[in-house]
Amino acid sequence: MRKYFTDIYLGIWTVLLGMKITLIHLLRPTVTLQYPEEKLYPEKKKKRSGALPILYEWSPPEGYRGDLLLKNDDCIGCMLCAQACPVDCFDIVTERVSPGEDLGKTSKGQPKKLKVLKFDIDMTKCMFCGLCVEPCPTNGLVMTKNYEFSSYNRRDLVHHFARPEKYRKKDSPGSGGVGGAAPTSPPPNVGEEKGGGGGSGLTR
Amino acid sequence: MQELTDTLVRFLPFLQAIPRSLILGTLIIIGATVVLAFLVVVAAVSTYVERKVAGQLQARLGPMRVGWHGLLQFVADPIKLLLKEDIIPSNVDRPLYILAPYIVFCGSFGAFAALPYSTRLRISDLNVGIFYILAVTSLVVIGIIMAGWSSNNKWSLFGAMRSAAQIVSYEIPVALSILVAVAAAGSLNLQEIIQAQAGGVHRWFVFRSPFLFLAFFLYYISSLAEVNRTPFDLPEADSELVAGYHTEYSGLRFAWFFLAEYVDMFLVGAIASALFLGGWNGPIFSGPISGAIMFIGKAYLLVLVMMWIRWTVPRLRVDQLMYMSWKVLTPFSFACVLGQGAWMVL
Repeated sequence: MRKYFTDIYLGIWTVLLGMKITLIHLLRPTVTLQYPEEKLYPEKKKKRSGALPILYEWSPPEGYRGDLLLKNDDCIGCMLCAQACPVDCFDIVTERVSPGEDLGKTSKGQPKKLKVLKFDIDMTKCMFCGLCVEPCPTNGLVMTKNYEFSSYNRRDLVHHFARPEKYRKKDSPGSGGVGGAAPTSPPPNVGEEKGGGGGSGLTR
Repeated sequence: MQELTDTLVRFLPFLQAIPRSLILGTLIIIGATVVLAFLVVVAAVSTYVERKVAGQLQARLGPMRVGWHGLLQFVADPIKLLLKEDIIPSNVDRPLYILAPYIVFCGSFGAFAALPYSTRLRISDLNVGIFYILAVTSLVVIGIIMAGWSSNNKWSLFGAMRSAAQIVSYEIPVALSILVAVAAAGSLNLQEIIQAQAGGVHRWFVFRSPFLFLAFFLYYISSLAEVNRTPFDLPEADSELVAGYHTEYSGLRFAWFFLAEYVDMFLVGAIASALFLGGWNGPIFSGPISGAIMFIGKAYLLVLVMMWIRWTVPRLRVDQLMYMSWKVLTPFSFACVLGQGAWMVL
């Protein structure tokens, strides 16, 4: 009989205790971040000072492997990245430089001997292993900390880094520089213009 | 309704040409439509409030995307349910399967005819109002068993069986604790019960005697089980039975069950506020409109407490559920009835 009443008392007491705890949580500010609009930037910490103490500030750490970026001027077209890639997401077309032409040097001072006509990276295949970045002799291919490049269109996930029109402009300064020739088309000859035909949406 | 017909005929003489029963019937249909619209709004707002409360209790935000702070969520959810495909599995008992959601909803809907929103605002002023509500809400269990049986699904059947056991068990403490308030008022008429509580907060039945105070909590706890709300949500225990008796239902048919669940919550709050918290008697005002606001406000406060309990207390086991009903709530409510009787005699 005694146990019966202590059980009832305990039941009511523990429920009330639990309800007190949940009530405290009801009155507490929320911790949710409305992700695309709100992010935990370090400078945001002060704005949210009224909220719960933020236990961590997240920005990608050193060595984070995000989106791939090619510094165009630094690429010598050696294709070491394509060889290193385990999933074959590179599509590179190069052309030997014509005699007498100088493509300049990379920022590290290596001479450039190949025209990079096509440098596509298919990010849908990429598995972010970072093996392509390591062999790059000029540090031209890097992995940025950008992790927000999702897209509604699969084609938008293929990076087109090469700028074939850059070589053409140098070859024929007189041309208007409209559009680039399709990267797969044969490399333009010196002095010959291929004005209207190109325009194959080069994104970068 | 009868009064309203009389008034209408008195003020609009041309109505005398039309038979009285026809006017009354039309008015009843209009009244039912108004109540149905009210119920849909109540249920829709409840779902939004429930999700917001659930979110805030867990330091989350709840719905935020549809409209300002997710306010249009309660419009988006019903639209989604309406647009869904109506699936009837091939091996169900078709007539029962189709009928069940409507019976469940009608059980809750019928009760709203007798609710006293305010002195003038009411559909029907039954002299056995609270008894009628008790009787008509019992229909719900039939609908639930129909749904569980006709679905031809083990989860559904288990949910329905649990629900039957649970609702039948908890009907007793509910009825007994209502009886305490009825005894205190000396009437089954909800208007008279509320009028007996007029004249300030201290006249509300909860504060009139210790037995009424206890009866209020007994009623509230056992009616939580009546409407299958969370510590007693065994009939639809998600983690064990998928969705219990409405596992096989989808789209609009599921929406009826969903609607009934939230309408039931409001009904429990409304009855508790009418019987124990003074109904439309406010601390300051109790007119026809302001009284209705008081009544709905009190009912909604109790609904909020239900949500608060839901996100606090874990689900009971089946044996604990039965223990609580038969060994705790029922004896205590009997004691309340006897105690209130003695209190009134002395």
